Amino acid sequence: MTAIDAIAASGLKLAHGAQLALDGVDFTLRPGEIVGLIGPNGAGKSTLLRILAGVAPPDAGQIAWGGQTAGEIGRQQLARCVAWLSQSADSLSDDNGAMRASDIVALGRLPHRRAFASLTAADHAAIDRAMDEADCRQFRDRPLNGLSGGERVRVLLARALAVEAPFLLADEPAAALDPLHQLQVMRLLRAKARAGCGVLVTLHDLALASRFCDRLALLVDGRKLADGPPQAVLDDAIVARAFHVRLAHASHRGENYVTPWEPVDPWASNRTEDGHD
Amino acid sequence: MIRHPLPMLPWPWLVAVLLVATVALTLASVAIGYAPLNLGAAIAGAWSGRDSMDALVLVQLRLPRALLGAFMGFSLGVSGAALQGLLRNPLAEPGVIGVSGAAAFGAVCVFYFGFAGAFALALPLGGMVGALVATLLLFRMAGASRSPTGLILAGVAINALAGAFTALALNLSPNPYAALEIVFWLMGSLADRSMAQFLLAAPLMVLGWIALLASARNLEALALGEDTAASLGVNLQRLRLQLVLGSALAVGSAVSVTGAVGFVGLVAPHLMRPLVGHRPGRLLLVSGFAGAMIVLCADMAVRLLPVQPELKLGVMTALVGAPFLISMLQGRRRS
Repeated sequence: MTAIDAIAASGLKLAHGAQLALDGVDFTLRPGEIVGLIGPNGAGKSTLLRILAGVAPPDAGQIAWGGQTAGEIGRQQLARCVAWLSQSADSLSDDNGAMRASDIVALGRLPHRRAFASLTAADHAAIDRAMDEADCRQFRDRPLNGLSGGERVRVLLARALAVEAPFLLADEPAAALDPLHQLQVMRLLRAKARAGCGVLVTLHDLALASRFCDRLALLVDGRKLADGPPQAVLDDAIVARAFHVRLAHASHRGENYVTPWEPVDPWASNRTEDGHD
Repeated sequence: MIRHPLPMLPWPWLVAVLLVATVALTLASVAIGYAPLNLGAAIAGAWSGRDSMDALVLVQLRLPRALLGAFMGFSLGVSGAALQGLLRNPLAEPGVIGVSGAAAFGAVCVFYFGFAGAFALALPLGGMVGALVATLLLFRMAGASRSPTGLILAGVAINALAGAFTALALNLSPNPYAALEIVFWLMGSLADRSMAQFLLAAPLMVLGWIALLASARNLEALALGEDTAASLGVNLQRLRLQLVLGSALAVGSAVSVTGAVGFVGLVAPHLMRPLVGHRPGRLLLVSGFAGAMIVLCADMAVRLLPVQPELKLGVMTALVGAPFLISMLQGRRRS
């Protein structure tokens, strides 16, 4: 597989009807880093992820995978280089939902398979590896709609891992999970980054974002408000402006994390700030 | 919710069993009929080219009927599975969603304007154009919505439109005999179809099958949604075109010879789904075999039932299929 050295986008714009979902966003994802994409609901996080995955083209702006446009790199090669995990399994219809977990995960091997060839030993090995990593191998023969929401997310994560792509874009992989599996998924994604994979993950949980990500990018109303180390992005003024909350900063065993503490009234920020401390 | 693991026959075995069963039913269909037939003598006669009575019955009546039944059933089954995969909706069926009705109207136009006699391919072409227009309309109207309701409503609208134009053609038909001919044809039947008609439609049906079966793997990726399929390198535009054209070819050419036979495309994939672990790609081939078997059984039943005049095949499948659709809808409401 030809290695691509980065996903680089500049000036991305995309409109949903009259609403601008993205309004001139620049973003670069490099191998070996795990980047958290944060922002309030409707900020354009999922839209940016879809564009970086090559699933939807932007209305304006440039995007290059290792210096190549979507047309130059080609569908199949792009699919091998970038794995994308969608936000929800809602898209599964009732009947497809009864597919076995291992058959769902096997779909991740599609970009590597030649026309009309069946799954190779290497494919089966990748499927098993992915299911082990996402801790869902025990469900392999169960139909997807017989699993709980969190179990289902792990199977779909395994599907994305089975692509074994150098870049992994995951949309809210932790949202439906219990604390144990939230930690497991974030550790797994960080381990993937340490092993050389470029990981971009959208998160609502700022505690997970601050603790596990090398870098955070903050989107608000389709614009990038901040991009940098978690400490810099989770600055009180920036967070108050983006989320209308105040954070509590803490540290445990040498790791820094934050947790949302109290709402900030956006129209009376001066008054509350005066009254604080 | 299904929680138990699903026991399944290995895929090659399943295909082999279904293939053998389909061939056996085709042979049974050849052996069953009104005229007494000495099969041995008929085959010997047909083989040596002698025009014995037995040989004529075999080659001119029995064989086209059985082969057409198998091919038409396969077309409906595989198209049903393909449309259900494309629209990601288990209620998609060429008849329910109006594709068969529109194909029938296309063929009626050919009858009505007298193209049928002008050139041999006119009838299948008319059927295919009807099916194609209906599938495209359907995709426009319901393609974006995931709800079964949206799809069924679009199907109702297309069926109504095709029905209205067909009624117009009947209304304006020059004489009652022509109208009666169209009505009987619309009910769908395998009786009195010639070998020439079969040979005309068969290659077109097979072309449609190839287009549909070749899409199996990409159709499977579609199970996770269009975006995920695109992220796996599937060319969605081409896949849609392939499925729409393939099912229009298969259903259009089948319906143009036999008339509209409903519900086969609904029932066949539904019966086969548990046997292939609900995989939309694998469902295609086995639904084709199931469709063929259903049509062959139904066609044998209309010949064996002591009802005069003979029930039309389309009437038979509707009588069985419509309650099946009702029970499916009930089941969905409960879940």
